[in-house]
Amino acid sequence: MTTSKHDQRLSRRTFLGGLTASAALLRAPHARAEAKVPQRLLILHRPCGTADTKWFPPTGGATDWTPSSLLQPFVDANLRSKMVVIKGVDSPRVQDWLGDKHGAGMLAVIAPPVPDQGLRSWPIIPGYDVQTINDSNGKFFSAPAPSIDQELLLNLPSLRGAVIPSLQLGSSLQSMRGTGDHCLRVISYAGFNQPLWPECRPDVAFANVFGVAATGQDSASVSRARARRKSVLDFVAADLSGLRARVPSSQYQKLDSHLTAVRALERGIGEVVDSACVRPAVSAPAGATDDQRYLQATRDQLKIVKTTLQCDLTRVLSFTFGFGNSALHFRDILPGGLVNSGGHHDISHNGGTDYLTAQEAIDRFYSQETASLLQDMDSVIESDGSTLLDNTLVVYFNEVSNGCAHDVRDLPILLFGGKTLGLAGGSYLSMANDRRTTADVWVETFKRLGYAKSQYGDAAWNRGPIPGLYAT
Amino acid sequence: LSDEQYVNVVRDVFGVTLAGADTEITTGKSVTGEYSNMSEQVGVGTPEAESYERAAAELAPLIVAKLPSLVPACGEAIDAACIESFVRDVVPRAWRRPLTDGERSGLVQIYTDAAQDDASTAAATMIEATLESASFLYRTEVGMEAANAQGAITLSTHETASALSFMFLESSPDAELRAKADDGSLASPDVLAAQVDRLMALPESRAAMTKKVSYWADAERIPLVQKDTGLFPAWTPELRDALYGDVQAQLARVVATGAITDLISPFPIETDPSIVAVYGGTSRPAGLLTHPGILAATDHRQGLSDPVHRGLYIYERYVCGSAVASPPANATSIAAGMQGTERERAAQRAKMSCGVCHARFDPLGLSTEGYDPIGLDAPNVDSSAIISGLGPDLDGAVSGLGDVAVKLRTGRRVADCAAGALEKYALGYSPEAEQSCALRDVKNAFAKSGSFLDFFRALALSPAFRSRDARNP
Repeated sequence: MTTSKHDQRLSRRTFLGGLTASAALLRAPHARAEAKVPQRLLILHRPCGTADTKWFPPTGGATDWTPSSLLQPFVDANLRSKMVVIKGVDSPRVQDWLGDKHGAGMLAVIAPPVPDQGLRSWPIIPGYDVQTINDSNGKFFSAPAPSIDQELLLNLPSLRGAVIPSLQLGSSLQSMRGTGDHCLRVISYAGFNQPLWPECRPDVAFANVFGVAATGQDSASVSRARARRKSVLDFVAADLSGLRARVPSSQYQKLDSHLTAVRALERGIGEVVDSACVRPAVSAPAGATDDQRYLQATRDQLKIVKTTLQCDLTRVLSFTFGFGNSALHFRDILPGGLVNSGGHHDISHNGGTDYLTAQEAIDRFYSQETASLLQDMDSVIESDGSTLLDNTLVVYFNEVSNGCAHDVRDLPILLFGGKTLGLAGGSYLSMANDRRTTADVWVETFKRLGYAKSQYGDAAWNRGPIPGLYAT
Repeated sequence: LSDEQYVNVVRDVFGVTLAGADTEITTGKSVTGEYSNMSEQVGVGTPEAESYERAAAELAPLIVAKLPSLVPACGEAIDAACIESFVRDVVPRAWRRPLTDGERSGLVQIYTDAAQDDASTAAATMIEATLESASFLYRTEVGMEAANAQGAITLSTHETASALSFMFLESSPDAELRAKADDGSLASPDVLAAQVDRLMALPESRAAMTKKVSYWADAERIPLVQKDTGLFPAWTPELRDALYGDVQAQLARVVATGAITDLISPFPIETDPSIVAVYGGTSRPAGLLTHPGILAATDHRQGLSDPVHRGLYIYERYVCGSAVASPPANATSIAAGMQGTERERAAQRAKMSCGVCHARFDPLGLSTEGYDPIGLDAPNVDSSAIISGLGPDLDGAVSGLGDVAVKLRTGRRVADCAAGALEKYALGYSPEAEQSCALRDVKNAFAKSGSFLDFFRALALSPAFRSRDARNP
């Protein structure tokens, strides 16, 4: 079950089964020329806080804001009119809660905020010992429920129907399954203690996503792959039903749960929309260490992000640039002398020389790579003349603001695209005197997505509407 | 099937050996060192279904490559005859039962429908269906007429064979056992006994039995133990692995030739140089209770002695007193407000409402105070205690774990306590409520001889082994 080329686990989605390819052309089927342009959701995470004094616009107001050093890359990429900058949005958690602050920060943004019950507010994963649970840096906790991307996927038909229900990607090997606790590595969850680990190897991600798309693969080939998958799941469902008829009623709940899961997988065998899309050229990153491979891996993964959304292979995608204690050194990014032996997390905690400059340089790197991705997405013209970015709501966040303090206030969060939802692109919203949380951002977004839910997580973290986030 | 069993069946039936991360079939589960394949606690939701889907997709091409060696009818090229032979001869081994005509034709049809692509892809698709089916993933124990059953269910011979095989080999039945199930002779007590004796003599069987005893002894937690290396620089992964290996060797020795009381009798441990370098070469006076690996694993703190959890360990694994409720929500904050030595804190707990439960196991924990968090001698620490409320066999003054072990070695308490856990691990469910009477003979046999081999044999031959309660979740 390992690939011979890299001796890595090949986590290939089965409905794409059986085919791998190295050529570059993906031809989507032509069956749905009338298809409506789909809505997509893209959540991007970068870790370890920002240089908080370099993030928010230093001058100007809601529309004439001056880009800061860290926002300049987005403006340079012509994204100003398609982005919203918000100040005054806090992380819905209490700093003193026991547990790792980076993990807490990640979960607080992407999962329903949990009620403040004192030090032990996070839901504890069974099996952790008392000392770990009582550790202010313990990694003993998990998302309390499905993460925002999975909840929206479950509840919004508009986000379903693609071949891959949702996709989780990253670029640092430190974020991969098997490297440690999940709370500070994972940003998508199927439920409590059910992390959806990101795939961080471009060659494997490529095989996962584009495995079916060999050169010359036509709609008939894709349809046959889908038919094979359906035949398997039909058989599995029939087998479950047959077993159910043979067992006492005490076993029904177990089998019904399984059957529901199989039916959900069947629904995932959707159809590919009618847009020609070119598969990106990616390969296994050169370099043995996470540091050596990181730049290429990041850029290749972001190519996959763009193409996967463009080809409507998925409509719900999350991507993490690195885990909450990232040890990446950024030797190719940081000016000479600023490389710190402890890596990014240590820099964020004031490690090394001139750590503020180093932290700014690293977050600028994330700005630049994200801006490049979004600019690419904005260059993709969809069937109705809008761009791929217009039809994608992009949430770009960091789990803390000031990394050293693990600050919960003024999260450096940006929203992009979302034009079809009415996102008020070009705006700088300062809520500094009327503070909100990320839960409020989600609730505002629910209204636009047609998701009838007026509260996200515990009520105390829902502070109120955010006027101006979306056009009225 | 547990992940371990899934991997074993794939190896034994299809000839595909998985290693490393590939053995993690399902995801998202915490690793605690606790036995975790109780049927009532395991379900398949979307994450598990996706995991099985992924595993099947990854395995199917590997199994296709093995077809020529698995099925004589599969030569260089895969064709319908090859697939029909595979479905007829190989799939029943994976599913641990014969297939119905409908199941056979259904699998062949999947191949036929997909064969327009290419034969290998079509065969892989059929194999994916085989591996994702409930018939592969579940060990059914429902007998022949279970649908409307309200009480006892008698297992079919194939289910009995499967239960035996997973208990002793953690895998699907081998050819001989399968044949006895196919011809129905396994229903005969003599044939069953002969098969049990044959299975128990296999090396894999000894390993599987030892693993179950290891779960009971909480030794599977040892590989997960982390200590504050600033305080305990000797605690390295190498030492931890050596201690785990030593415990396994002790367990294997006692399972093969000894009695359960041997596990809490003095024995030398220090044969491995890395262990000798840290702990010296003395004998451990209370066997497992004083083994550094167990002492480190049952001390849940990384830097402090932990009489509470060490006491609970002895209480739950060897004493089996009345059940202890979970600590209240404010237990941690109460503990954080306490001052003094662990002995003084235990005295404070005894005077508070905490004492209702703690009085049962705190004295046992205080008797472990002669050992530090990694199991080194702590010669100047008082390890005396007065046990009370646990029964005349245990109550009274003790001075350290050696005295506790002497008390535990008298009577049948430890054997009964271990039997309760081992029954669950062996059967894969909790039999207590329904079959405590039926399993009484098994416990009596174990208490009499103390032999683990006698226990597992008696369990496999017990009428209770071949019946289940339809009301059980």
